[in-house]
Amino acid sequence: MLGHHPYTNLLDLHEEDMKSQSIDTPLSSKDQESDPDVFSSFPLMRMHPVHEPQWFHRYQHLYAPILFALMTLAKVFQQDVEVALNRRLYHIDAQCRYASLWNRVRFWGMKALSLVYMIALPCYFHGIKGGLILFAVGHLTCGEVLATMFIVNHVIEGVSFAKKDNRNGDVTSSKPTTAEGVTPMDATIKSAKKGVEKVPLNDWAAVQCQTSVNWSSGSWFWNHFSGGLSHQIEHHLFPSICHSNYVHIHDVVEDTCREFGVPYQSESNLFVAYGKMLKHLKMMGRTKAF
Amino acid sequence: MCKETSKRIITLDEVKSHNIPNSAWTIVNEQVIDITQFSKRHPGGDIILLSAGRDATVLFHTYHPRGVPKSVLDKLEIGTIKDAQSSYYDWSSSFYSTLCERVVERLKSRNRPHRGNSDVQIKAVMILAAFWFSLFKMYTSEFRAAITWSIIMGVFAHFVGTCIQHDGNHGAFSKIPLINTAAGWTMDMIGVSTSFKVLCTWRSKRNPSTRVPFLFLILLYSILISFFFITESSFTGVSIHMAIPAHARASPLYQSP
Repeated sequence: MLGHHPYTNLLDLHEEDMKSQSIDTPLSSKDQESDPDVFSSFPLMRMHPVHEPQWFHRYQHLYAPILFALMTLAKVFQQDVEVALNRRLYHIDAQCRYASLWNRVRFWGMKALSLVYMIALPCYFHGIKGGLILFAVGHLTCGEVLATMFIVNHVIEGVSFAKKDNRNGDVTSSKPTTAEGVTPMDATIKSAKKGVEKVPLNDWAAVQCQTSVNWSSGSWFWNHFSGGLSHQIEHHLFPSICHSNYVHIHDVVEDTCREFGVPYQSESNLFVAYGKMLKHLKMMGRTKAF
Repeated sequence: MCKETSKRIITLDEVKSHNIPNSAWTIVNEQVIDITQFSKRHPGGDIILLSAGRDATVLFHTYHPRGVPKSVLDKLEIGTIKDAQSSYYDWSSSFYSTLCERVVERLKSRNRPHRGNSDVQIKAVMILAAFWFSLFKMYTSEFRAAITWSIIMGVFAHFVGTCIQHDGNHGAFSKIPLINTAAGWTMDMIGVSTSFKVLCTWRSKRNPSTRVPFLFLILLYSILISFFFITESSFTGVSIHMAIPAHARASPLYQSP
């Protein structure tokens, strides 16, 4: 669940069809534009409207915060090892990376080394039981905070989701819509400045704005605290610009969005964003797939 | 004229087969370019090899907000793609180019470099120090206090993730590619592998610089660790051995100093 790539909140319908029939699409024919990362917690959680809801999703807003805590533990013990052994992460080919001996040594070496100071040393000082408890407490804390910071940016009330229909060989670009089935950009585009050219709903940058949400926009403190995740829209638009710059450019981005009639969703603070994220999960647990 | 005729139509499958450092092709817009040699002089470092064997149009545009002269691409071009994967995205609008222009202008007027400044780098050292310090306190405190230190350590491990490795893996932490790689490695340090962004930034075996970030990090961490060990003993007057709990000292393996 770590990181992001330029194809946020976009799922490929062909691949999702195959998945529901438990058929693994071969790596070579996977759609490189889809975003399996944010939604890798399905079927435990339903975040994207394309996925079929299950009975337990009705309670996902209650158990989600508990699952968040497991995020880094799952990565340390399961996902990383799976990536190294299968040499792929979701649809990303990692063959080249783990084919190199040096990278394999680095991976297993750093795993072993970090387990020494994260588990072995605590066990030495506090006994095996105590050491394991300390390791778990540290990781659960890290996972909880990290997952919270990441999820509110993309899985939240008001944000749009997109799907790409590859099934007939050609792309039917459907417009990004929220879980309620509306497209906020349909409304904002009408208030675009007169004389400005019309931005298509599937314009790359416009999709980043429709699928990401800021919180505490403009705050120097929260920007540094979150490593720039509080300015997720700016981060998606300019991934190579260091996060300390986001407070210097957020007003430029917001003004340009208003001028072109592109949505720019900004929540007043992290608590508001967290509440809206839970509301979104609650709603997703009760509505049908689109 | 001669160059024109040497350009040819290339299939997507052919591009996909050139995904190794010794033969790296990538697609930008409709152009197929050979980045094998170029990766060594690419200003952003060999992170560009991430795009080997795939369509890098989105990465190309979004990682170069100041634009890249077309002549750079033309020099590397070996052909044009025949059957590019159909994309969801539209690039016809001037919305993104306007954004880039204005953002570049703003940063210039405020005299801010695009990549990491001393502010994020000082923050990084503080976070790393706090991480190791809380880990050390977790070892040496009695169990209840150790739980608190473990929570603090977890919070700082999260800061390592969001404030250091994230920028490093995006090539945004420093203008020096090597420091970006080192920053990306801090993820391995907290026990989680840097598998996402640098997943495919493998390196040529002949390149001796691969070991430098590793050595740099080990050096940095040992300095930090020794720093805290020294301050701990001089401030409290307690030697590190005294911090070892009774049950460990009672162990036959433990040799009293």
